[in-house]
Amino acid sequence: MSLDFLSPDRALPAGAHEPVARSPIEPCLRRAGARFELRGGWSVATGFGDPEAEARAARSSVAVSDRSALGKLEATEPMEPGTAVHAEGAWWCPLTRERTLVLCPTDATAGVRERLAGVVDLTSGLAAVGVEGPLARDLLARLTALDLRPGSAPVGAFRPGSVARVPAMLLHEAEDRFLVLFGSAHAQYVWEVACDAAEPLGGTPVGAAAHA
Amino acid sequence: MSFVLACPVCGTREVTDFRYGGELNPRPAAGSAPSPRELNAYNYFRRNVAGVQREWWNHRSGCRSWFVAERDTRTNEVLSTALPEARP
Amino acid sequence: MNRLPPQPGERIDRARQVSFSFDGRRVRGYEGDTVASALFASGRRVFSRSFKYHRPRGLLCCAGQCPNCLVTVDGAPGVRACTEPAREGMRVEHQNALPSLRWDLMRAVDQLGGRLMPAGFYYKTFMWPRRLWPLYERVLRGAAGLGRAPAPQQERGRRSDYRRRHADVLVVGGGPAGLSAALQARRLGADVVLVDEGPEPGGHLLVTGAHERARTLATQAREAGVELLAPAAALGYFDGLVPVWQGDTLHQVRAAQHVTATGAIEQPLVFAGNDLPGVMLSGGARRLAALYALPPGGTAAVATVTEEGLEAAVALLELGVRIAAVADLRRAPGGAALERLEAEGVPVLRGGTVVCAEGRNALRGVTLARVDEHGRPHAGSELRVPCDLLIVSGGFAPAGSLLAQAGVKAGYDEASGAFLPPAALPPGTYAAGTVTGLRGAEAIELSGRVAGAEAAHALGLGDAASRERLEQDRSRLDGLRSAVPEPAVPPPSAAGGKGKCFACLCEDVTAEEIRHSVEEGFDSIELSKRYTTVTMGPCQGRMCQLPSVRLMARETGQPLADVGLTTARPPWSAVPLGVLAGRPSEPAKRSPLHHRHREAGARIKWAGDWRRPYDYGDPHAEAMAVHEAVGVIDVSPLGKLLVEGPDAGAFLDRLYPNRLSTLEPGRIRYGVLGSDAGRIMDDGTVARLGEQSFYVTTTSSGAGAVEEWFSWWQADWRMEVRVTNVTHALAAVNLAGPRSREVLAGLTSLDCSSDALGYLDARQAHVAGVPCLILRIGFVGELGYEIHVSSAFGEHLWDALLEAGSGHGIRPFGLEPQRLLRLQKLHVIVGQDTDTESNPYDAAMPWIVKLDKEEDFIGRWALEQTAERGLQTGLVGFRARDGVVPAEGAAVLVDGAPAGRVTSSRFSPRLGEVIGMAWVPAEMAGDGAEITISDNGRTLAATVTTTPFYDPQGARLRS
Repeated sequence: MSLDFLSPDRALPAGAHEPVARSPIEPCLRRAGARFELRGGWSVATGFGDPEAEARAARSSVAVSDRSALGKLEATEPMEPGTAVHAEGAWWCPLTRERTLVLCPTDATAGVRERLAGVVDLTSGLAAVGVEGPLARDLLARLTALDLRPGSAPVGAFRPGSVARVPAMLLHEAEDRFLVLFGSAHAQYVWEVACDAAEPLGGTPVGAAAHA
Repeated sequence: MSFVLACPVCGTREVTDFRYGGELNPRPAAGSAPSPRELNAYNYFRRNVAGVQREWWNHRSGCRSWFVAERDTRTNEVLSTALPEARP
Repeated sequence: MNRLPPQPGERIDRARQVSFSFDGRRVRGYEGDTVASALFASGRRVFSRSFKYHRPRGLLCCAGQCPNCLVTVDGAPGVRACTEPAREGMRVEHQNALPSLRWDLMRAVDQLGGRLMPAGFYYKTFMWPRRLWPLYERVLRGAAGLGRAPAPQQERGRRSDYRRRHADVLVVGGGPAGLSAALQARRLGADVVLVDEGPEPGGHLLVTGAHERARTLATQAREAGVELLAPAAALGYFDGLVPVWQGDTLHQVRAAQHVTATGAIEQPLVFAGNDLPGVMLSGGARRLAALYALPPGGTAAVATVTEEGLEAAVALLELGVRIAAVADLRRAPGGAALERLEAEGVPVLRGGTVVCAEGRNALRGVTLARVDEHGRPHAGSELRVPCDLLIVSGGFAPAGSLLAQAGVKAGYDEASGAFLPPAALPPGTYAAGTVTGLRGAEAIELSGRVAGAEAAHALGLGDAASRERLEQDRSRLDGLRSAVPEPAVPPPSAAGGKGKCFACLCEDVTAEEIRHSVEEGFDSIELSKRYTTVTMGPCQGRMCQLPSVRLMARETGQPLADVGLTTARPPWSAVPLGVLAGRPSEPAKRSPLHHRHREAGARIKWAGDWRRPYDYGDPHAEAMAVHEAVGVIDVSPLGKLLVEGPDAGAFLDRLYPNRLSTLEPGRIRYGVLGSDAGRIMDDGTVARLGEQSFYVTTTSSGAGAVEEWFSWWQADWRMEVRVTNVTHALAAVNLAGPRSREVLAGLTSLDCSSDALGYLDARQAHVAGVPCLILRIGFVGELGYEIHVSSAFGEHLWDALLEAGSGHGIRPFGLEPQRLLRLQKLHVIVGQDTDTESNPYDAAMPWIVKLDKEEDFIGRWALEQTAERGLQTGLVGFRARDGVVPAEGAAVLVDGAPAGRVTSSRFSPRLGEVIGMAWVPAEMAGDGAEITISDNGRTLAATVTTTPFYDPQGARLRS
């Protein structure tokens, strides 16, 4: 028996029903006035009405974005803990010495899933929040006890640990760009806490259009 | 209490990242027939040493691995941590 | 304004005025002023009323150490006026005086003079007559505390942010030692944070004419890249974590190396009237003059045991303050300051001190005298000095509290009369400057450089050259150490004056009260502290620990070393609770359908750490919809685990008391998880998805614990099995009711007939176009399907079901109707109907235990013994006869004594009667037994049943 019920990309349009996959953060995004677009079967927030302000936040303070539509696959793939590797268009993040979390673009999920052994599709199990900008570390310092100083957590650092008092994983994707992954039931709580902490730093939520 | 523990998988974290699992308390061998006294000792009694204790911890907020730590219960100094398969 | 001509190191900007209000009156000051300095400039001398006796109190330390200038700023009580910067428009009010600072009615407590508030008065007075306690309580509540917390509490708005800061080196204290340590560690490559309490780093340099040096060091540290937190207070040391309060941020600094350069605190002297406004520490007087260009008084007397006291006298003299007389307890003081004073014709009493101070609301004069070691004046040596200022320097107590919290035990040093940290400190801990007892500018700075270099070297930084330099610095420091003159040790208190001698200003504890506490048997410092509350006030012992230890030594006849210090506890600085509270957000879990429930008008309540719909307004109607048509409930919080691998079946066989390896793929079994003590921990269903894959559901609150339980045993057994928690990945709904099949069938191509999808069958199928796992189970007792779907499609599925069910009378139902429905079936809720003592036998589920299993399983031995021993209690259903619903938790009585309790109870509209579950003695756990329930004074009769109230054969469930 397969585990298709865990994979959002196994939905099939059926008559009147056009399945749309929704991020667990979507209710918060709606309240904040987000605009949505259908991308790869997911309803994705593209912006909050002021693209310039959003770009400015990413450039000069901190931008918070919902990236929950990312494919997230846990697989049996031995890796040394601590550092993630970007390869084949995906981030390979070591959870333990045996198990790896693969993060890939939504539309690449099915392909990656087929190639791996012992896969559990956690695409909908994990919410993902991007934190980007020169004040990204400052924002995260308000949410987590993880040591994110450049010397301690260089680009590629992958850190499971608590963020906003809930179990999470943190990936240092690029200079001043972090991805926080956590259980999707905590999504609205974490989103609100992150936006609240971003505000005094001049940060703001941004849509998927604002980051590469 | 805010000491740090080194998860053998993830590295050093605040103690609040972890769940305490109690001192190592070996289970009677499968298939054996412990007496009521032996069973009670296993279920309800702990040595509770003032000193270095071998104990279970779970990295609940991180990789979720169980590991064994040696901790001085008087000072909270953690002398070592290791995954159970690496146990001597 | 009454200011001195511009002072070389002053902090005020005379070009920029600020104004604020104090008790409604306008006060003007300059930018750079503190609230206290601006008030002092406006002529104010009384800043507060004391805690117990409501005595007027004036500025004493001007450094945030003492409790004398606590005010309320913009509604926030307990703010230190002497460190709080004056800001335009701020609203400052006095505390603890009624109606005003000048006329305080409660001063009567002081003037009655008698024994109204002896030490431990709250243990002794207001005890009799007892019936008057409500009145006493009201009065005491009004009189207790300092200031008023704003009431009612405002909306939980923004409070403070926590900010995590990892650092290589944390330096606490921004005086010359701390600045030098930070600078040196930074120069050697360390990531350094420095914390200083003052409005500007520099410590005593700022007021002793060395402000240029202070500002150079601070600038160098900043430019080198030291992160300087100031004004900010280090609150404590928690296993290497130091919380630092700065404004509305609580920095949580976790450093590898800790340098403590917290300095030493100038101590008051204990003599009659030592709390009068006008009695000021030498550092405070100098601070007022040097930083704010304020003459602290017109005519001053000086009582000192230190060189610093004399230096202060000279400094004030040069500013035009008349120095009327000096008492220096040192018998043979010498040096430039003394020469200067004597050259000016100031009478100096060698071996003398202050015996008493006079005045009512302000100092009018003091008596100086030569004294013996008990503080008794030598006859004929008294010198009465009219003055409006008394400069006091009673020695320096190292601020060793943070070191003590880090595990450093201070020892008594006879020579300096203070408690000093030992030379050898624990690894990662360093001390520099006056906190180590060091004196002299050069030595202090050098000790900082040594500590900074040591900390950096411990991190592996530095090189051979820096190590050599460190060695040189160390030996130079040793040379300087021996050249330092020691202050005299003052007597515990001066004798011979009339009036109260305060040992503790915060709590208004007098020397006499400490004596009384010893007489009453509280003869250890820790006991006396709790009894008299000395050191327990806002100053946290900064002003009173050493004086109280000295008094205790005198009263008990013990050496000071044996009396020792009280345990240093956080917080080292008083801190608002709101700062510690952080942001008011609760980590809530929400189902992906949460917003749909809100839209439907659900009453949302906490259920464990989830926010869940309790009902949608009418629980009985919701339950009836399930019986008569179809209902749907969001059960997404159910714990969901995948157990996969060749050993998956064997693994579950070891964990559950029943057999799961024999389960056919596509079938479901109920499972109860127990401990090795045989106690019920959790329950749920286990569905076999494939040969090597099982899908385990747990209770909503048990998901994490069950996952940890499984993985804990796996860590020990190391079987070929993998457990993955997919709770968050899946939304789940229970579609239940006689018409649920029709609703489901309309959305899927799966054959939903009972032949194809029977009771306890599990199937995967697309429902409304999305892949689902369908479990046919019946917690609520009607035909029903638990549908598990990717949480990304939770909303899609919910909407589709409600739409498809609209023609069938579908209704969403909440937790409350679910509780009623399952109670009708006697389905247990673990944690509600069971507790940590319950086992499957007494919880009426003996059929779940398979002692004939060949394999060992968790709980087997305990359950075997339980089965042998027989039961004492049993969980049963009951029908209450009087139509009254007993409270959950109500007692079951046998012969008038409690012998059990009600765990669940409801009125069932379907059955038209009150039903429930209860623990009863084993002999009453049979059908038809009559039990008595005592609920809040009422006695109810009920009849036991062991079969479900509703559909006992399960016909509807299996239909």
